[in-house]
Amino acid sequence: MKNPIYAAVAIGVGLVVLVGYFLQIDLLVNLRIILLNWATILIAVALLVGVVNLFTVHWRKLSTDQPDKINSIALLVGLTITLAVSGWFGPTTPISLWIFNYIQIPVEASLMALLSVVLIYAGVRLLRRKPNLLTITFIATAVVILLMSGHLFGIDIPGLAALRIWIGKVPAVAGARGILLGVSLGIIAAGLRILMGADRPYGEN
Amino acid sequence: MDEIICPLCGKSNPIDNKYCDYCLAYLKPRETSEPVPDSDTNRGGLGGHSTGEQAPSWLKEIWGSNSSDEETPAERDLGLELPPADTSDWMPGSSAKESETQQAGSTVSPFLGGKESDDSDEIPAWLNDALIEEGVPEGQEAEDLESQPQYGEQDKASQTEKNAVRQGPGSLESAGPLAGLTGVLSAEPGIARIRKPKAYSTKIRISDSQLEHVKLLQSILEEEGQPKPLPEKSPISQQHVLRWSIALVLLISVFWSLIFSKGQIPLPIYDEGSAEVNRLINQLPENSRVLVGFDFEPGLASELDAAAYSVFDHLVSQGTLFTTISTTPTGPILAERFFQYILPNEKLIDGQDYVNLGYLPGGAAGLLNFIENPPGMMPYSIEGSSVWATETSEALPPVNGINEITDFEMIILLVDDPDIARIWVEQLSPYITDSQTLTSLVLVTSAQLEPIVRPYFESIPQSVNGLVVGLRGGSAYARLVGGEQLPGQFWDAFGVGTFVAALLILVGGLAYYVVPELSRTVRGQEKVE
Repeated sequence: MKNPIYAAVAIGVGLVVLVGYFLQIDLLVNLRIILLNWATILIAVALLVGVVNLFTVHWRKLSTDQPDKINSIALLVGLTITLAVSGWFGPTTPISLWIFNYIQIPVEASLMALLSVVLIYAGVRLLRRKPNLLTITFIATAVVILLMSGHLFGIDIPGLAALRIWIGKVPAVAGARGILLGVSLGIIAAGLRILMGADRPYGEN
Repeated sequence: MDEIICPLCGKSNPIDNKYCDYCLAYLKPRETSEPVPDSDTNRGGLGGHSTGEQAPSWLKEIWGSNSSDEETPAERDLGLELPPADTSDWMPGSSAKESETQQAGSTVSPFLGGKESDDSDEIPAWLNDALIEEGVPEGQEAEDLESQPQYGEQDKASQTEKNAVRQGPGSLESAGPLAGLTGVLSAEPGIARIRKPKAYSTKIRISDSQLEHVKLLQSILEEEGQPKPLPEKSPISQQHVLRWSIALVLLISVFWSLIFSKGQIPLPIYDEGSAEVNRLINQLPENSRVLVGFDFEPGLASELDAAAYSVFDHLVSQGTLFTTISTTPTGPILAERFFQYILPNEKLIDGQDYVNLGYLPGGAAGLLNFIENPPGMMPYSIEGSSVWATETSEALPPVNGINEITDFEMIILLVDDPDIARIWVEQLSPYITDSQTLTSLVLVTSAQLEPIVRPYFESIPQSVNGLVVGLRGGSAYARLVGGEQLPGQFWDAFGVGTFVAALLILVGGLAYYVVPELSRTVRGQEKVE
């Protein structure tokens, strides 16, 4: 234990917040609210630091003549213009919304559209690469879900709608619940390890 | 001019000198005044020890081997100049014959047999090599290497070398402090003889077959080191064609549906989650206050806009007031866009019909803090104006009377990320599941999130009270409330797109798999035939 102060502060704050969650004692509740406020402010500052770091990294990349400079130029120009417009006119003014509506949303939506093409292409090639039972099951499930997610031109195929509902409610939900349970157990374990000082994700090696 | 070598210091002196000019040693052996005994009686080397019978056997053997009058090959080759053959006067017991033998002896150990010296008129190979090694030209070294003896022969030569320097006991010491004495026990030949160490060749000796292998390996390595030009790739490969074909088919089908097919396909009839949301909204009082979380990425804005359109249309029709908040940085502007552009028919006024609290940092901690203390955590709107009631100003209508999270009649979350959805549900669950709380939680999600959030909706007690999933859920809700504007525009194209996608995967996958298999089978049959 190189510096016990870090561990003591982390464990102490964690215990106060945890105990204050279970015991409605005014002192603990008020202390917990103050600590959560501090954490929120710190995370917001970290976001600002991240933006500054992003700007610095790409500025350095631009000034040191590294490859792919065009990407850095696009990022720096976009960041500067958006920051200036939103800072000067306000984030909810029509000009700020114009940037958002006609640049950011189309760009991200285009990426999603590309994703659909890539996924279909991967599905087409999957049977050739690994033609086994799992692959066939996967492809069949995807086809059923896709067909029954839309209107299917009003055609009612007996059993297909029921199959889609069953897939959505039983196997998919079972898998999702397993994931959620695993995540919850992992979070509990991670929290306990931090409270006991076994994990120290705050800079101490 | 004749010279004589000093036996003590080894320097040359005039022939007439009796003593050395440098060390004053006797240059010539002194004349003996006593009668020289028979050589056989003086084989001990020192006077007085008479007969050979008294000598040990090893000494007799050495004596016998040194009886030859011939010089050793080493002496001849090295050109050693020996002192005169006369017997010194201080060594009266040595005979003339013995003196001759001593001349031939030089510095050879008396312990070693000298049998080889009798029949070694020619220079041995090892000695010849050692002598001419320095003078061998570099180019001839390879030839010499092949002509040199192999390891077995080398051992024989080495043994010959050792045997050749073994001399008899009667040799006369020619240099050093014992110069002129006979019968001196010299050191081992290899140690006593000071000569330049033999230079061994550093080149490996290889046979012809090994040389061939070396050349073969060298040629292989040289070929590996040379860059090979990559086979030229066709600018249009099969994969490119397949990808572009998929994209083209999708685009044509979707655009065709958007242009020519407007509202011909009926919206889905019933969806359990959407029906539950409809029921909850119908139960809301007039001018109820609803908290809305905008937590999705701009890339999924089209799907969530269409899914949420009818829900908000229904809420606006009931005079609901909205308070928006986001845990993602792009959420506040998405909320602003939704109220200003997506719901144009019901233009809402900022600060009156809705208030945008902006971005809530801190993830789960920030959300928990806001849930426990909304006015304290987010006191200002995104425009920077005060939202909640203070001593100097009244609260804005959407948050009037709101002090706790449960003062909102409904909380609606528009989300596409499973982690964010989970954080919202987990932090709100203690308040939502409380039997005394009337606040309900409704999720409007992307279709990809349905398996993750459906367990919260189906659990008892419900952590999520209503669920609108994707365009299908939004369309079902639109059919329930009778407004089919935005979902109706997308529903046809969406249905065609999903159908074509399923068809492409099914047909393309089978063709991609079946056609090569069939062609392989046909080729196999042709080969058999």
